[in-house]
Amino acid sequence: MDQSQPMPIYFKGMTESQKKVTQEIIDEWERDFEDSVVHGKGGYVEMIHIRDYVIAGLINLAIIIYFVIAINS
Amino acid sequence: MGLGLKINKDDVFFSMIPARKKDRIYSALDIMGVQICFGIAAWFFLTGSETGMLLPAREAIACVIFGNCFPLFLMAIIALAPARYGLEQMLSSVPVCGPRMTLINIIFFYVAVVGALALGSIMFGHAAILFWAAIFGGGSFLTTNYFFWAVLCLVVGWFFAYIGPDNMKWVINVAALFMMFVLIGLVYYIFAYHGYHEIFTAQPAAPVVVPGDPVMSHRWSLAVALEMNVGLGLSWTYFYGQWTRLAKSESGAYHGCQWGWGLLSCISGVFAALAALAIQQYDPTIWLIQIGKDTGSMFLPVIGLLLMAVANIMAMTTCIYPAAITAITHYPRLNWFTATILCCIPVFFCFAPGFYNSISAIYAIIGLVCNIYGAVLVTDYIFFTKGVFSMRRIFNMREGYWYWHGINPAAAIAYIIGLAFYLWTYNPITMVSMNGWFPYITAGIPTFVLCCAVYYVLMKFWVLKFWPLPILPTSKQPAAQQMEVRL
Repeated sequence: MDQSQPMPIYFKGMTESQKKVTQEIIDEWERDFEDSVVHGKGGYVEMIHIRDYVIAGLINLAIIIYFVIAINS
Repeated sequence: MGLGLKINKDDVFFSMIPARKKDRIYSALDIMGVQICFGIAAWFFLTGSETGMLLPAREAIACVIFGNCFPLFLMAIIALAPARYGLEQMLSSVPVCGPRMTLINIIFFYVAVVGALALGSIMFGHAAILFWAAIFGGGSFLTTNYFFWAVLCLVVGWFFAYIGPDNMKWVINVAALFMMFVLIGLVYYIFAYHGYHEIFTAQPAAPVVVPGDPVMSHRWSLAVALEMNVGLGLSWTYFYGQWTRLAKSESGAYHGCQWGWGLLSCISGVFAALAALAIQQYDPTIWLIQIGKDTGSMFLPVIGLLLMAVANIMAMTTCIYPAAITAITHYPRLNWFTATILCCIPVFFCFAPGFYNSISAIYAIIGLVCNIYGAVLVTDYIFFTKGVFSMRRIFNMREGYWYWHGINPAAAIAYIIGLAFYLWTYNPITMVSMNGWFPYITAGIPTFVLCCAVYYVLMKFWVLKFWPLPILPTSKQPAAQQMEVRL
């Protein structure tokens, strides 16, 4: 392997055309999105927000409280 | 900037090619619709029903809601990495488990798929023979052979999976709405006909009995019911990425899966538990016939049986599509038709009558294998990678995330310890707890916590010292710098 080149694709069973398409998508990802994702921003799609975790956490907290009351009353 | 090669959406929907922004077709509501269709099916009816056979209403409802929603909350971030990279679930977990360990995950995944397909199709078969007998009278081939109807359900479900996620989206959304309305109607019927007091004072028909010890009997019933529901809640772990790779946002992927499989699908589990308490029968198909006798009309039974038919067919569809996408991802030369058919064939070996009545054991086992996989992925996301991977390394199965001979030893050891601890605490086949802890603690959630702890300690103090995380962005380094220290 040429050590000055990026790591090549190695995926058992992939046809040459699949390899070519995947290679292009990876190149595009690294060029346009990877840096953004590394820095906590979106990639192909918008990244998740803290408020999503908070909403899910609050609803599940309510479910836990309901469960404890229902089992112990 | 566009690509030199032209890739149409079908290439993405029916192959392992990463789904880019323009290939994303599922909003949060669409993902929710898919997961409602996947959730509301035999598994929720049967686990809900068995919960109602074990516990009185107040505890049964709490068990169904908590047992399904809380595990999904623990696992929900698994939806994010596939949505971020547009990759199928097993491929997106290669950076965590290593390429060779992914093969073990695929085997576990297909155990879950075959179990789910068999349960759904058998339930459809049971419902269909009763329906046919009620309308046209008994004694014919169609009223004695549930196998025929089960195969029919599988074939129709397969067809919708075969046409792909773009076309099936509309069918699924209509089916999800229909099922929600019918279920709310059936819950209303249960309360209107049997009354709040009757439901909430009804005693379960088949609780666990420890001779001479009513306190321990109740404790066992509660623990078995909770374990079964937690098992169902955990059993979705392998099915996130095949759908969320098509999500339009990470938030949509996160919420769609969590509430679609969780709180919204729970309505069917709650209905099943209440119906089992009111009618004192385990088999959901028998309730509907009983409802017909109670009301003197076939309207509700026909609507209810239609619900079960739609629910189970859509569940086949939403199970076969991810199974086929996983097959085609790891065996890229398969064509779409073969991949979808191959996922269905093992189901025929599960059509034995005993399988349908072993729901608690089946979901405890499926929950177990999904549990340990989920624990490893969640810990890795929160404490180590934050879901930031090198796509280039994922697609290099020899040098990329290779760890030790293609296996992440921290994940492998966490799997072994998790399996051993679970079976030591609770054997779902024999219902025996070797350490005697089971009726006091359940097995699923403690196993999840233990696996998280083991994986965290091993990664932090051992694995990352030998195989450090790659420095990203990858594109700015030559291959020599991308290689890691390997044993």
